[in-house]
Amino acid sequence: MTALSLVLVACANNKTHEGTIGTKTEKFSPFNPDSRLAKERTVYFDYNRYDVSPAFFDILKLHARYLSTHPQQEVRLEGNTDARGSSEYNLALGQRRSVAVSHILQQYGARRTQLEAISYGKERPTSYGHTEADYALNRRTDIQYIEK
Amino acid sequence: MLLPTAQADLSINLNSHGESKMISLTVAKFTGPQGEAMGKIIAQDLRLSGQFDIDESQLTLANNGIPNIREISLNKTSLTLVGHVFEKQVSYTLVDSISKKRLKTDTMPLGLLRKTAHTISNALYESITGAKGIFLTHIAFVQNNNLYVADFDGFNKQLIHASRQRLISPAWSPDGRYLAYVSFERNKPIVYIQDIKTRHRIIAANFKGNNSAPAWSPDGNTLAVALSRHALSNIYLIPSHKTAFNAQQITFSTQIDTEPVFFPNGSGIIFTSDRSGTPQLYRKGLSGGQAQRITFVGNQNVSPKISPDGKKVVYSTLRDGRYSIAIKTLGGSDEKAISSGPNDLSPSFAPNSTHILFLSNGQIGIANALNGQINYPNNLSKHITSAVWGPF
Repeated sequence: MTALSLVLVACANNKTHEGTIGTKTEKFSPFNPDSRLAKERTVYFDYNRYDVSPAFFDILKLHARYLSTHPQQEVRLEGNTDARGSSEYNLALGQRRSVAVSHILQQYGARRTQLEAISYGKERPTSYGHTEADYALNRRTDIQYIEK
Repeated sequence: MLLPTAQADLSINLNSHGESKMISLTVAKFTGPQGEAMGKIIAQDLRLSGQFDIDESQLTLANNGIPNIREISLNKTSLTLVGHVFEKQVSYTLVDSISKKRLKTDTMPLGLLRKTAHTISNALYESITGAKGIFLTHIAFVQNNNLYVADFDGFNKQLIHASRQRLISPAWSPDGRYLAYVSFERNKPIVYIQDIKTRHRIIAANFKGNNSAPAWSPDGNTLAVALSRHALSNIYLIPSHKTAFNAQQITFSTQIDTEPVFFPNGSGIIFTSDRSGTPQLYRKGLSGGQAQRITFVGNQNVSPKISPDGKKVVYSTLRDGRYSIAIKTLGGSDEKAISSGPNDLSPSFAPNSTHILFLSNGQIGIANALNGQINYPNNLSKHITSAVWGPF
């Protein structure tokens, strides 16, 4: 909780980009293909788990910092599941994963109004096989920056 | 013309388990132009019903549609069907192979070949089993993101909507005029309603978050949908003829409530909820009260559909890592396995409450709930991701 508070303070003090929309020329930007924010936009989950592993806290902190300094920027958090089971129940399960990421981004300083948590359920796999390795790649939340 | 003895002789025999026995039927080669094709369609219809052991004969067993009783009496099947297709009409006769009685004989105008054949199949099925035939009904299904409507056997496929992204959960309006469905083409799940004839469509639900699992009320005026606007997933009611700006919340879970279906009398819904820790089926009245859990066996019980007669619920159940289809009587504790899995999903009832369509690894299966017979129409065997049976 202490660590979290420090981050919140850090975000609050960072006013550099307040009110601006990210551009491709900005170095620290999800729209700059070389930026970590463009490259690392996926959080993976264990089987039947919906809690975000601490391994992803650092990158989520960076995304939240960007969002807090670009309050006009909106993102869609897209939860996904592996291929097993009903389409509709998986759609709701994927929502658990996008909501979990939404909560962490908010704790790190993103505003709720910037975030839309949705789910693709099992409908948009990145890996089409039926091995455990394929399933693991599909249990994820993608952070999608909305281009205006 | 239904001869008076037919009903008595042929009403389905139920064995001691209440399961219907298979009826053996020889379908003779129909004579006349288009005769052979007509006979084959009727044979396939009755085979798909799961209630007939069909023997397709190479013999015509008739002259100009008049049954040759001496040849027929040599058949090992209990029934024999002969027919002749004339230029503008078709006549057929169903004969009891043993008693040699003509059980049903009729002549009807020849329309489109498949439609005429399905009409004859309905007449035969009704006179033999006493139940309404499903051979003129339609199904909706999704294949490679395209939404189609087709005859129940997969023929006469018509493209209703080509989606650029996945499309799931098609649901027929009670009058068979509209399909509600969920499409991801705007990069999030949104509920649409589309007119099957005109192809005109509207957005029914596009609230923040997910919009999914549409189900029609019996009067066709209301849709139940699953929305994630206030929590993970709850069930709401919206109007079915316009884009909703308000939605009436009817379940209040902090966990997942989804996949609603209405009782045929409109008094309540059955839905899937994982409030107990695993997804199970619940029922809830629309006039209030607590939701009651109705499934207890299995790691998951999902995707409920209620039979049009309101007596049974069919669902997909997960046991020992396998998804299979099961059915139970509403208000009862019995449960019957319909399929054996391992990946059988999204069941729906035919409008006669006897036949069940489901998906098995991208292939459509048609099960007979009376005797457990399952058939897989050949032309519905590839890459099908959603399917649902339409009304009469």
